[in-house]
Amino acid sequence: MKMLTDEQIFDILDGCATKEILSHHRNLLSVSAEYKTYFEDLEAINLDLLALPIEKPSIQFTENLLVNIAYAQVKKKSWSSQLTWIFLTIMSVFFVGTISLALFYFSNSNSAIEIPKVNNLNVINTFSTEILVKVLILVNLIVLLAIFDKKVLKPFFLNKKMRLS
Amino acid sequence: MGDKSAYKELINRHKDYAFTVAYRILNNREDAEEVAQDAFMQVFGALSSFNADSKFTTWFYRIVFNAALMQKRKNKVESVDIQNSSEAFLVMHSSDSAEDLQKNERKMAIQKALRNLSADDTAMITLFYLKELSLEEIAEITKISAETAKVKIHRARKRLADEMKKLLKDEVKSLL
Repeated sequence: MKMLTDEQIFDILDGCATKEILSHHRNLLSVSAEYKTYFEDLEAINLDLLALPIEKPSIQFTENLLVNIAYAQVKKKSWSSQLTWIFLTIMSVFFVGTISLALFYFSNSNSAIEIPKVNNLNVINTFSTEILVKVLILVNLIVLLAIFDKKVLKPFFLNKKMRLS
Repeated sequence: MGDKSAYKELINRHKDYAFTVAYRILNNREDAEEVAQDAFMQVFGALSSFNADSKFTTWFYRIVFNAALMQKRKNKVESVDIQNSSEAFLVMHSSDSAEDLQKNERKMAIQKALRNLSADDTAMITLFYLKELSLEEIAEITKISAETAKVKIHRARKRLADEMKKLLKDEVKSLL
């Protein structure tokens, strides 16, 4: 009689063998002592594996992890706030540098540059003094509102929603 | 505050399984704990990118599985856990009955045999016997097809059976 393969035996042990294999397996059990021993060996190992305990980590596992998470969050936060400061510092350095350079060259220069007077370009003058200023004010207002919404309103309502739920 | 309690609940729900997977692959409690902790940290760092359509456990075990395998490759010197040594076993179970002793001996033998298998084989067996995961989920974790996963699990169990036979033979030889 033909023996079953290891895969077929494991299918029997996992409870997913076909009816054909199962009936063949029963026949083999009654006929072949060799097969019976082999099957029982694999069955014992399967039972041993099923009985293997779930291991437990140390008692402080959760606490240690929560501390690490809190630390990682603080670290992340401090880095992002540093980025703002780095940006502001660089901008200030550029600003001071430009003013210093302008003052330096202005005080050392003896030549006078004659700026031509343009009287015909009233449109440009109107644009640069009235329309441009209005547009810039509007853009600034929109940016300010967006920042206010993101930093103040959104966290406030999110917090309220969380507390209500 | 809300985040903290949610994290705590998530950790308590999954820590044992995560630790078990890591421990079976690494055979060292300290390393396994470190790997499980790192996996949780990775998970919390990437929670926003987690695809809600997929199962959390599958995603999480993939992180644990990969981290444990990476650690295993890093550990060139094989370390044996003191708790699993035969001397510790004798001290711990010296007052047990004959039946208990036999059961514990078998448990020790199977753990020893598992340690002698490759990390891949141990991981497949561990994931399969966690009872939490289907064959498809194991396939997703290990990034292979379900059919390949099934074959790999069968082969790993066969190798484990051979290893057990070898160990028991050695034990009989040492008694003679």
